[in-house]
Amino acid sequence: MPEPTAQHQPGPSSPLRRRFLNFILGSGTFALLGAVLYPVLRFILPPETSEAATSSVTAGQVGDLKPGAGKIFRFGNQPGLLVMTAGGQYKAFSAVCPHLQCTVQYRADMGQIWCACHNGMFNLNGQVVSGPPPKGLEEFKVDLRGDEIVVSRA
Amino acid sequence: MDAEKPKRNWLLNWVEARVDLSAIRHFIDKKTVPQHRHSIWYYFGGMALFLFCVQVATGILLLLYYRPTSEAAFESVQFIITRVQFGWLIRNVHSWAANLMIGVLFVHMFSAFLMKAYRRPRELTWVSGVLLLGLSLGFGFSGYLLPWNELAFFATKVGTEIVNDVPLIGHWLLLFLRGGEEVTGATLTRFFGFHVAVLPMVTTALLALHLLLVQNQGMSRPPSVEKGAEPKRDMPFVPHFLLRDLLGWLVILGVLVSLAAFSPWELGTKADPFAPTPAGIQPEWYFLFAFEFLKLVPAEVLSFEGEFLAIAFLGAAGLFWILVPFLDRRAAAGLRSPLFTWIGVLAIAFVAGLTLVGWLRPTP
Amino acid sequence: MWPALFFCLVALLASGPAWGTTPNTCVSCHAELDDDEELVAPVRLMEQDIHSRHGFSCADCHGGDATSDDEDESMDEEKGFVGKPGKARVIEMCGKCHSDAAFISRYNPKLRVDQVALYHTSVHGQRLLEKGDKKVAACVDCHGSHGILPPTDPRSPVYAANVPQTCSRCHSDPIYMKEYNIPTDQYDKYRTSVHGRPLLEKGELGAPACNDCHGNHGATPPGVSSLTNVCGQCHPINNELVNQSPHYPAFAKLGIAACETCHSHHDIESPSDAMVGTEPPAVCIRCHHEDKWPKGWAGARAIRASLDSLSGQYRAAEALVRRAERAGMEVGDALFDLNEAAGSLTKTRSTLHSFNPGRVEEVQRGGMELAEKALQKAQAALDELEFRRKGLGLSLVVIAVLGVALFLKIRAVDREPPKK
Repeated sequence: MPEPTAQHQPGPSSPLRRRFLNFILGSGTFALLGAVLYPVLRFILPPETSEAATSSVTAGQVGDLKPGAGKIFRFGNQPGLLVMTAGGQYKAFSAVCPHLQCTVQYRADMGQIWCACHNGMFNLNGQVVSGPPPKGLEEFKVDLRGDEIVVSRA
Repeated sequence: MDAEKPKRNWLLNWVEARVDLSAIRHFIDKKTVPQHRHSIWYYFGGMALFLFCVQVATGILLLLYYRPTSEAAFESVQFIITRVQFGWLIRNVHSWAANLMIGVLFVHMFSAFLMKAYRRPRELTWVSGVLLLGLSLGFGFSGYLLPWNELAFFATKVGTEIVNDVPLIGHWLLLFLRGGEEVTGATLTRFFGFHVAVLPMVTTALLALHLLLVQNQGMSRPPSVEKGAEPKRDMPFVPHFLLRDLLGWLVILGVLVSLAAFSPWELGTKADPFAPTPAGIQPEWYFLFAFEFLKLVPAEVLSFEGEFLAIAFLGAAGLFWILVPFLDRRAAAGLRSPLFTWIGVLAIAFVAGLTLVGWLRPTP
Repeated sequence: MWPALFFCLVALLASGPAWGTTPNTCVSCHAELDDDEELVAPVRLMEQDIHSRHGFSCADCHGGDATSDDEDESMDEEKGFVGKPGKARVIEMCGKCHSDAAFISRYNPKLRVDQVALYHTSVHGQRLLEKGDKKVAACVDCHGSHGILPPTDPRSPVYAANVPQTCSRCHSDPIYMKEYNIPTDQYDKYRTSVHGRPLLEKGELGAPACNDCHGNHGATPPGVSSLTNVCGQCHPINNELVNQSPHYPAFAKLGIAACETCHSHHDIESPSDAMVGTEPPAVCIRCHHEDKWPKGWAGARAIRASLDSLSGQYRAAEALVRRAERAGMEVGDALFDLNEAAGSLTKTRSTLHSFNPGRVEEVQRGGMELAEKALQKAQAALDELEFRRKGLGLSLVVIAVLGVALFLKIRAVDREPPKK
């Protein structure tokens, strides 16, 4: 760092140069403040999904499914299966087959959940009805929040 | 000063009509910083203060999204760095600034030691300073656990295990730190409480004391300069030293954001209390010297348990370090004190050397 | 009087093992024959036996009189005593109860009662009962004779994971099996197969054992025309596709079984894309020579090309997603799409069993789209990373400019004469 000295150093110290320097300082500070405040303000405003979707997620809207139909939705990093039974009830399960982790699907023609890989069959309680899967599908809790179908870990 | 601040004068007048700002005016007009060949070290205190402010600001921002439970902590940090706008920046600045601050604090402390700044009348400044370093290490230790990842979990486990060897109160200390016998979610919540409430409160109080003392007593000159033949030069704090301070802080800010963007802190995997301890667990670098020292001391020394001796030694060394102003009689009398200079050099070698050993140790 | 009575009661109860509600002379005698393992072992083994647990004992199968102390009386043929039964007799003995629906339903209403009937249709049964071959398996060879456990008990030789070893006791013995002219390497082949490894190494009960394809009591190797149906129990889609494909009539004419021709039967390996196409080790070119069956040859080539481009696209997408993940970017959506793409890849591989390149291409296109989606999301994440670095660069420029200005200001301020 330069030491303050009593002598005048050669070089212009005109008022213009001073004004220019102060201008740069001022606008530079402003720019820095902006560069600091912009990320901070963006940070403070919450993102679209307001919390980590590990324990609950919106699987769809009312009206997305007809009775006797199913659809795949994303739960965390895994697929989930949302089914609307013939009676109009919503059921949700993990769509990962416990046998060899293929993605299961709802078969409206059988009224059951089916895994295409090795013909595993599950009923609407998630229980294994036939085939090689060693255990049933994890069932999730379904709630309605307005028009949203919210699925959460039981 | 310049012509382009009529507004400030108006504002200033309004405030001064209501509040006595003479102390501040006096500070601005009168405070000086000694100028000599060791003056460079004077910048480190302000640097640490700047980094502390960065920590408080980024810490408060992180508080808006962080969840201090073992079920949600990891996911909340993951959420911050992946989903929240600029969350990656805030989190990485917070992690890096913590390390930089502690590094700067060590430099500040050792430079103050070698310049004998602790001598009369500045003993309390020294004591409060060493305590502040301890608090910062506490901040580092408690903060490190908060993401609840594998590395932090085991580092905390190993770290808190050591207090068990403190005589008489060791086990109670362990229970106090861990919130139980083992490191669990209770530990996390407790560490969170320390990190955002207890430590900030105590640090603010001690820091205020430390800064007040410095303002009140002015900056100390090393004995060699004090006794020297050259005329004593001073630099006004405002604006000369302050501008230089600001430049230093600006550079550090640049370093911080560069580190955040190019060397981001990894989150790793979520802690699993039932997993076996991975090989090569090490604490953060600022604890490495103590950790390596504990490893170096043999299991048994003259019928005493090695670990106990090591902790006793470190405890005694720490106590000595805090009480140095009262032990260094020569410096107190204003005389040169080469013995303590050597003690300082040895201490630096000890800490730096063992830290290096720990760093260079190959990880399995 | 009472003490004497009490004493007698104690003595009675203390005599011999307590199973069976009445004192059993078979047990009490045989328990003392320590020098003859063959005669004393049954006593020990029967303590675990499921039949003992239901209150049955020696005489219920072997006949005779279990209340008499006299050797000749208790093992009197006129009292129905059968010593060690011959194989055909075993079938009768077991069948006496196990084919009687009314009787069995008193103990376990769900238990089947057709085992003997099925056995008659099996190769074992036919050889025993029609040709008198005593080397074949009868009930006790698989289930054990004393200490029989239900098939759901992991200690039972007919527990699913133990079945291959039980069958291999005979079927892997080349000396024993010499006269039958059938291979004895089935177990060795099965052990390394995609079915054998999960069952034998991990106890994964979803994988088939010998009886799942060959039948239990009606054990018969599936015939050429029924093989695909057997495989189709667990692989219905592939079975259906093959049956609808041009291979079906062709194989029927050649008299070869569909699944087995490409996948073999005991040493079924985990299938790979290398099995398809016109380069070794593809199975297609075993028949489809370029000049002899050119249409099939071209079809095989096209199908393999389809698969390769999808798996290549998938791998590229996966690599990019992992890169973005390692850089700390959010890739949850991309990973999800990647998962779907993997499912599509499996579906495409399944569809190749239609041996219709057009159909395979159709399904493959869906997979390509999904992999593309994942790739794009990963790319977006990496672009965001670039954006961050550029943003950083910009802020560093601001800091640098301000820093230089500050430096110059310091110099200017230093040059000014001191105020005091």
